[in-house]
Amino acid sequence: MLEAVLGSVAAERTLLYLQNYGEGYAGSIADTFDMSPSQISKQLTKLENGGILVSRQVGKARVYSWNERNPLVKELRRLLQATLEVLPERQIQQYYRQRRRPRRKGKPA
Amino acid sequence: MTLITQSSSPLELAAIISQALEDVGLSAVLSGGAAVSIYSGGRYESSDLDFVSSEQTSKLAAALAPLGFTQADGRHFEHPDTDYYVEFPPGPLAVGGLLITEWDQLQTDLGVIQILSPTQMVMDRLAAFIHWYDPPSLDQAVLVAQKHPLDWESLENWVSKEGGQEKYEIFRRALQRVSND
Repeated sequence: MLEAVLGSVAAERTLLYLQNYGEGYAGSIADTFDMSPSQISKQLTKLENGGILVSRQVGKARVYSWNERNPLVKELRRLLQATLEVLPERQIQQYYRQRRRPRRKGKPA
Repeated sequence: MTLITQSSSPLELAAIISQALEDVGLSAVLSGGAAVSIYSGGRYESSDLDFVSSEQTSKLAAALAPLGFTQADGRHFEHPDTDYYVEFPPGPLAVGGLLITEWDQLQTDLGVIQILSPTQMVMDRLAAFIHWYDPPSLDQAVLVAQKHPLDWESLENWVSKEGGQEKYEIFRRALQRVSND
C-alpha cells in the first residue's frame, strides 16, 4: 500500500514490521516476509542514515528501533499505524501477530 | 470428587482446581491465557492455566495431589487425563505497575474460580502490548472487551499511569472495528 510512496516492498515491509513490533533485526524481518536479509539490511541502514531509526548491538544481531528524538518519526509512525489497521486480516495474521510476550524458560509451549 | 478428563474445558479445570485450593485455605488467582479463554467464551485457546499464587509449592502440590496432578518441575503441574498444564507463577499479583488486591469470584457448577476481573484481564493483556509490543495480547484484550462490560474509568487511569496512551488508542480502534463487523 505504501510501496508507491516508499519506493520498494522491502522498505514498506521493514517499516511496517518496526511499527508493529517496535524493534527488529534484519534476520527476523527477512524471515517474517521470506525475503533476503541483505535486502532488509540495506533498508535498515538507509533508514538509520536518514535519522529515522537507531540501532544497537545485541549479541550477534544489530537491533533497530525508532529514533524517537526525530520529531518527524511520530508522524511517520502514525501513517504506518493507519496502514497496519487497514491491512487484510490474512496479512495481519501471517506477518504481524508473532508473539513478543516473554515465556519462562522451561514453560511448555 | 469431580473427575478430570480429556474433555474437561479450561473453565471446568479452573473451577475444580480453584475450589480444591480454596477448600484447604490456599489463595491462587487465575490469570493469563486461560482467563482470556473463559472470558472470550473459548474464542481464544490456551494450553495452560496460570494461577498467580504466593503459596509454597509443597502446599499447592499437596492440595492438587488428590485431584491427580503431579509436579512436573518448579511450580508447574501435569495431569495424566488432560493436556492442559497448570502453573503457579509466584506473586505479587499485578497488572503492569498496579498491584491487585481484589479480584472476581466466578461461580460455576463445579466450584468458585478466583479470577482476575475482565477489566483486570484487559489491563494484563494491554500491559504486554504496551511494554512488549505483543500483538496477540492486543487481540486477546479485544476478545475480552467485546464480551464483557469494563470499568473504563479505571482502565483509562491505569493506561495513563503505564504511559500507554498511543497503544490504548490502537486498542480502542480495534475494538470499534470488531464491534462494527
